[in-house]
Amino acid sequence: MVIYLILTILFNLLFLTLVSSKLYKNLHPLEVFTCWLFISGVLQVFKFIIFLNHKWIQCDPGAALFWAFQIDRLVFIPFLTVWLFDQYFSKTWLPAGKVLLTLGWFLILVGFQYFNQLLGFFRFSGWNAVHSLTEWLILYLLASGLLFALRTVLKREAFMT
Amino acid sequence: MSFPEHFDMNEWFIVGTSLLMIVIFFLLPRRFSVTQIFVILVFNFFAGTTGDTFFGGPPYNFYDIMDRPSFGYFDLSTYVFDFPLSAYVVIYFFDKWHIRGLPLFGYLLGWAIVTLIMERVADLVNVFTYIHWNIYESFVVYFISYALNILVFIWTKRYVPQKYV
Repeated sequence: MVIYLILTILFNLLFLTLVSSKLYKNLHPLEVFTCWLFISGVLQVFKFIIFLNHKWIQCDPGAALFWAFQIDRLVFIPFLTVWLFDQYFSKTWLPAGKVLLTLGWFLILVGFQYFNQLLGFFRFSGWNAVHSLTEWLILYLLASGLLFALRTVLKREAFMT
Repeated sequence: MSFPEHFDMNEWFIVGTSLLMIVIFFLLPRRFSVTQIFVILVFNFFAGTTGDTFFGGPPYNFYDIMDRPSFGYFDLSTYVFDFPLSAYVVIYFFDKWHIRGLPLFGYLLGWAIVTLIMERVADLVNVFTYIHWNIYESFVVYFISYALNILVFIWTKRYVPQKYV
């Protein structure tokens, strides 16, 4: 468990280093900051509902795994999502490429839960791929809604041109 | 998410404080851009949910909020209204009174005490059930939380167009 935590920290640091240098090309720093916080906050609410209330996914109650998954909720998943949104505004991708990126995003996040089940860290109890897709779809809609609203306000208030 | 088993004092307390904070929010003359308000509210939504995951949930379980350990609509109400809007008020007067240097320490201390008194009242009506937590630890959390809010606010001001300064 401790090894998994260490690997998670290293992976998240590497991921953050790779992604953070690319984020500010298409998104305003306030968009990156607000989207990151919002996504992370929503993920905590999802955790309350899925893990605590309904126990659809059960997880080892140890501190090492708790922190490993918290780091993923604080860094990996939010920044992966913000990176996806950043790519939407990039001119290097054709619309079909952006659709593929979005599908890849869903695949990574659904796969992430199944990967943890495979490792024995998650035990699914009435949880399946459709539930997982629904979870990430809700996150995607909430986060993109927030970004759309924030970008509208930023432009209206001349924070960005 | 769950509704409360009994709609009693703790739920009324959350409804009352949420409404009070919304009224204060709208009564205060506009001082910040919508973008800044957006950032303040989202930051405190994040701080509330993340703080409660760290301290209130397993494996630490320092405290429970409301009637049950599970997450309910009234917990969400605190994350959406109570925490963000109280931090908004703290930032509002920090900016209005131009507090800097040592007085800022006193200002943050003062708000942490006010929030602590509110928490004590909330505790009396069973909003909180302390398991491995005491109210003085909350004081430290409030102080740090308000200090972070001030830092975030100062950072956002770097991007504010001249007409809002």
